[in-house]
Amino acid sequence: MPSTIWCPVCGTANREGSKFCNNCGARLEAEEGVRCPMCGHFNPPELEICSNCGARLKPLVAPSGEEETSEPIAESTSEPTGHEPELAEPIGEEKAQEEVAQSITAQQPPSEEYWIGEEEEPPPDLTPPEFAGPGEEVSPEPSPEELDFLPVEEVLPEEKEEIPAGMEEEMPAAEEVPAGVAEAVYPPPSGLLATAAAAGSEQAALFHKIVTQARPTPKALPRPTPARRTEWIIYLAVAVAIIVPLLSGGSLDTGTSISPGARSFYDALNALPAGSKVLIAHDYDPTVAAEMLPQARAILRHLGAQGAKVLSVSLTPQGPALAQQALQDTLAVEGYSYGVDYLNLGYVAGGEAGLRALARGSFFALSRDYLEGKGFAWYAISQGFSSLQNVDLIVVLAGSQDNLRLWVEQIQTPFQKRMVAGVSAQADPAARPYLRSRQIVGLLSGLVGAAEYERITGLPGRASLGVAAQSWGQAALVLLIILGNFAYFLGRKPR
Amino acid sequence: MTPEVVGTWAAAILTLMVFSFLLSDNPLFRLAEHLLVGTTLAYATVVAVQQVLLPRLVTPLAQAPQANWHLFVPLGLGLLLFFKVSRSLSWVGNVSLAFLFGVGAALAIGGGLSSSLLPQVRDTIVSLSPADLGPGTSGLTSALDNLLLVVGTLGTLAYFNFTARSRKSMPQQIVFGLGRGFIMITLGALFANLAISRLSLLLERLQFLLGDWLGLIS
Repeated sequence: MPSTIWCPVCGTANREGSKFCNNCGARLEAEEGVRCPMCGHFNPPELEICSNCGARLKPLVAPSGEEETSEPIAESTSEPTGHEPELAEPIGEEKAQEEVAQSITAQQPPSEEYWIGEEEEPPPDLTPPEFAGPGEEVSPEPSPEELDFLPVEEVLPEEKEEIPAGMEEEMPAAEEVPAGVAEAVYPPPSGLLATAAAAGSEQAALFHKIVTQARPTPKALPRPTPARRTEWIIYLAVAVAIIVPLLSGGSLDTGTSISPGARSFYDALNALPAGSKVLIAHDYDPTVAAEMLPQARAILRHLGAQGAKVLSVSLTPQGPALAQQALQDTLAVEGYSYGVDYLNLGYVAGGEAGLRALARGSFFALSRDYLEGKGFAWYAISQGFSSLQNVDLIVVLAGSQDNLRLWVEQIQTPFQKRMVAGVSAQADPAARPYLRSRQIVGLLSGLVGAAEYERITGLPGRASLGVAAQSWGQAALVLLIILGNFAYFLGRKPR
Repeated sequence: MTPEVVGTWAAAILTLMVFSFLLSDNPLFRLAEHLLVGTTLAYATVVAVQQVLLPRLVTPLAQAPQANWHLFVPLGLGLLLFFKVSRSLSWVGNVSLAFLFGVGAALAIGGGLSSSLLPQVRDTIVSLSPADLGPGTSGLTSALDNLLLVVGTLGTLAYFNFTARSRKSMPQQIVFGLGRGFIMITLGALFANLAISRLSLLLERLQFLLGDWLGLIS
């Protein structure tokens, strides 16, 4: 029996050698190597650059080894300075520390960490300054004698420049402590501490002055870049190309020829006798409703004129509402009766399995209509509708190629049903092979397909007006693409 | 003020809020975006409850549980999915998922094979002789159409076959280039159709703003 690795997060047993937990995805391997300080990725120890983000893993000046340190030490011992206690004038250790501490507290401002502390001011650092290790390149510290010639005012402005304005929001608000309590808890310093506290107070006052000064006014917005201006030219060109034909009321119509797919679609519907049973699938959502609703309206008007009984279903949750909108705009307006001449059966859940249930009739038995929520058998149109075998024609209005493929694969070919399809423009390339193989006998594509159908039936609608504007918009896009390529090749620098 | 007028104004304002993204990303656009996502999810939930769960599961079980005893199986499988919430007991929900994926895969593979793949392969076995396809120019046009279909299909299949080889002979390079050309044309057609689809969406919104809202289009 193979050994297992237990997940440290969820406790699931995983096979030996697994890198991640099968259940929760947690990492099972021990994290080894050098951890990147930027992204946290673990790298092999020999790498100097993180393999994930490219950050440097080792400092540019590596910690010195023994061979590298020998020479600088020799140099430093040959030229003694005031920084090196062991090489300076032989004095006692306590005396040296006291002298250095006095010089620091008198001349050198205390560190930032000290005077921005939250509660207690730490005593000044009395230890001698640490000297740079051999191999590191640092500026030499001034000696106590040299510090005497450096006035405090010359040091402070440098710190002033380093503190950004606006830090007052980041800093915690100082807590107010009653005077008596403060003195009891923090007795007033004396001697060396008093000197340090005085220097700290001075620094705190300076800090307060800096952080409370008025913020600089924000700069004006940058002027638009040439790329941004180009974007606006494109937006305006497309908007003008669409809006002007819309406002012209169809006078700029470029004309629409009838495609063979639209003609055969019309022929299939036109051949239906009165009282034929038609199942129409509204498989689209609002993202493609601009193309699909005009198609649905044109087809439903034609079906109403043919006197067909129309049953509507949808494979998308948003489809029933859009289908109801199309039915209201067409069949309801022209006096057809809901439940007698047409019915919206709503959403078909389950994808492939739902369509198989629809084909075998079990869908109808438990269905309730979208508008009133009553059972399918309650309506007069249900007479004769027990399964897809009773349907004379299936009209699929598919916003995506997947929905059309589902109908063809699960309904048309297995049950040999006659089917026509209207698709959005983006699904058109995938629908063409089904038309060529005669698995669907008619095809409408996008807004152009809707306009074609309006033209065939002689009932012009919004699609006919919109397709003219769309043609001008497409022409504008093509022109912009040509111009963009032209400008690109002209502006390209020769190698 | 009728509900239709309120709805038209709300839709127009939301459309303008989405168009404001042209200026830059801004709170108005984000608000409209979140409203769209929220209402879409809420609507889908209501449809699933009212159109699927209640009429197909809850009501039959409540009215005649003995006659609809078989509905306890999907009810149980559905309840098992709630175990996916727990990390330690999530494996219990895998039973339902296995059932869902198993049935879905069986139907999809069976349908795809018999209804898409085989019919499409059969449709590429076509005559290239103009005499078989019709008289005069129509036969010649159909023959050229069929020739393009055959060359495109074989070239595309060959392209994916020959990409695994490092050294190619001259005939292989020709077929390889043809296949790549057909794939590029197909991708270009897909992209162009997508652009047309989005242009239709913009057009419909402008029709709505200019016609239904402002009344500038009759």
